[in-house]
Amino acid sequence: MAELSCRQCEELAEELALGVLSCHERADALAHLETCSSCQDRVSALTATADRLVELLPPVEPPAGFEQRVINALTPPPSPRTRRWQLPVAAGLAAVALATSGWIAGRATHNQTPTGASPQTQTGNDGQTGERTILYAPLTTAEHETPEHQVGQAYLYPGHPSWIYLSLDAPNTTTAGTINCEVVRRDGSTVSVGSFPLINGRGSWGGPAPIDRDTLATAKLINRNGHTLAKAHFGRPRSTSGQHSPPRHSEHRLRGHS
Amino acid sequence: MSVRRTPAAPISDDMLLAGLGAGDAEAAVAFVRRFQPLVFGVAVAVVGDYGLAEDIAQQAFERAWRHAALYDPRRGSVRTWLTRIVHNLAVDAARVRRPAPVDPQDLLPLIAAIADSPERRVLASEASEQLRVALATLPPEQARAVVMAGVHGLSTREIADVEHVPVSTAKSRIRAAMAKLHAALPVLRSDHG
Ligand SMILES: [Zn+2]
Repeated sequence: MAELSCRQCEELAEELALGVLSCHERADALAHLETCSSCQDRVSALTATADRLVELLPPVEPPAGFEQRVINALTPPPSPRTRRWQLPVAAGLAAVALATSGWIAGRATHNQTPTGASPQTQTGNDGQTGERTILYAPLTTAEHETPEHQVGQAYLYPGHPSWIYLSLDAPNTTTAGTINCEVVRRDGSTVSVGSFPLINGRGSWGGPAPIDRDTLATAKLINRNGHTLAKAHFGRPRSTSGQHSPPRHSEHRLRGHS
Repeated sequence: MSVRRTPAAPISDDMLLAGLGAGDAEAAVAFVRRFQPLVFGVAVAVVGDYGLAEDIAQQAFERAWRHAALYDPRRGSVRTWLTRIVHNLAVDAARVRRPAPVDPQDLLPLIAAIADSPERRVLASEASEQLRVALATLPPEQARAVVMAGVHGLSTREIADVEHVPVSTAKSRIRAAMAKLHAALPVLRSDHG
């Protein structure tokens, strides 16, 4: 392997960014980048330009049938637990509602008195097939601050499979680096569900998480030192919540706008 | 900072990817619907064949699904990440199929389409517009060179062969084109446009 000078590396930078160097040249260039941050910056800037060029290619609607084939390939085989989300439900009402203009988190139901009845909806109710509930709670700074300062948002989908999405936007925080996300259950047990980088106080992460609506209490973001950066409290499920206090979280009906 | 207490925005690309990666069928449907014109468009532009492009586009979605957890927002938007996945697959497939090299004259419609695709305008960021203008104003031989390399994955030597020019000429066309395209972009921010 040849050791390149910066000048030699610069001559390869465009082709490296475009992904068209030979294996040998590529290896040489990458070896140089390992040791040279200025060449590295140059190549990453050129790579971003090359990426944008490809993104400018005109979009083309694929032939009929493509979408269904892909969805079939991405949908796990039927099992009792996941049955509810199998096609044709996903490809029918719900899919149309979700996909055309994206999901819309419906009206917030803050402080709605728990009645056990299903939350109000604005449009024709598709029932189980056309809508589903996603839980939302604001991510706030530690509880001793009053009023709590909102620094982000937490969404949880407690279905099968269950998943979580968190976004944090706290430009004033001094914390940087990797943030761990934990889910705390009502019995106090904690599950670590993933981590994401925080850059200039901003970051977001989503992924699978073992969430059960009945046991879920809190989602927490923890920094490297174990300090809790933010938390989102989810109230008890409507059907079982007592009359202690109005829930701070809200349940959103996800539905399409037409 | 604008954190709304009542979120009403459409679900973000990141969030859909999270649902997809978690195996959520509805997120998968929404993800495919949102991105299939992009993914198929890239595949078709590179391989030039609808049947093969369909296979590649499907593989790209499967790869995105399996590797959703590896998506790193620091390295670009979901759109960029997915574009890279399908582009790599398409270029690999096109390489296997060669020699049926790109005819430089066939590139004219593609270059014109990249430089002017009105249906994308609605969503286009300022940076994309500037890149379009820069591509449209490149000398034709530089535009061909950068599209053959950047879109079709042709090496400098292959470009030299199809253009019947020395390798050094092909190389300087690529470098000149990239320098101009790069200069046209505003200072890169970590935006998702
Ligand atoms: Zn260097």
